[in-house]
Amino acid sequence: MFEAMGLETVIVSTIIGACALSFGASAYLFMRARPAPEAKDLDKIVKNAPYHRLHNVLKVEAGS
Amino acid sequence: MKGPLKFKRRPATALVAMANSLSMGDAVPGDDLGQIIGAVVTDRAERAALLAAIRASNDPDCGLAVADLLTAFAVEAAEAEAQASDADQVIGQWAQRLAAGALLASFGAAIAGTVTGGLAFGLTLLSFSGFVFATASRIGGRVKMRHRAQERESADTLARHVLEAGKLGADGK
Repeated sequence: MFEAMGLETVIVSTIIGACALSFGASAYLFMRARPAPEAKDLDKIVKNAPYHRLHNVLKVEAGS
Repeated sequence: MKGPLKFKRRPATALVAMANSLSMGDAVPGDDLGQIIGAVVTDRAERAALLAAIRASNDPDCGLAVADLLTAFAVEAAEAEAQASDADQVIGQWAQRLAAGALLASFGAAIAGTVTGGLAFGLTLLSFSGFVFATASRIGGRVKMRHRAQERESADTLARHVLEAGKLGADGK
């Protein structure tokens, strides 16, 4: 069944297949390297940290 | 002898508060903790503030709890770094090689005359852009890998210094 294919078809489809694989792998790497969005604002976490547990260990100002 | 120092609310003191709260049995959300540690570890001012806070604290176990959290963060960062390194070695490198091979093959086919005209041009363009894309994505992955390695090293050294600061605080007062 492959005898009917010309040399041109074989080469063209091989190169296109290799490029498709390479594109797919690169797209996967891009997805991995994308920085994860920060779940919460840092200021909010700092403000809501359990400072009341520190009352006799360390003195922390009440305000920001 | 130091007077009663008052610390501001900042990531360093938030980390001490979280560590103290954890050692008293209260739950702290894991991603909040990770985000705070990430912010403390990468900032010089926060590192200095953390060491000062540990020295000033009255509880000798406080430094130990913070150091343990920092070490756990370093272990997590090392794991993420290893995964990124694997992806780069196994996928990134071969994607780049595959695209480079396709580029050379399309050149060869065009030169030999097996593929001609617009098709040859299109194939060369396709494989060249594939190579550029593979290289760019590999660079992105390696930047992230290096970032994680830096976080891991900073967290490790900070954990050591926190332990030292805890010792100084206990003896020096």
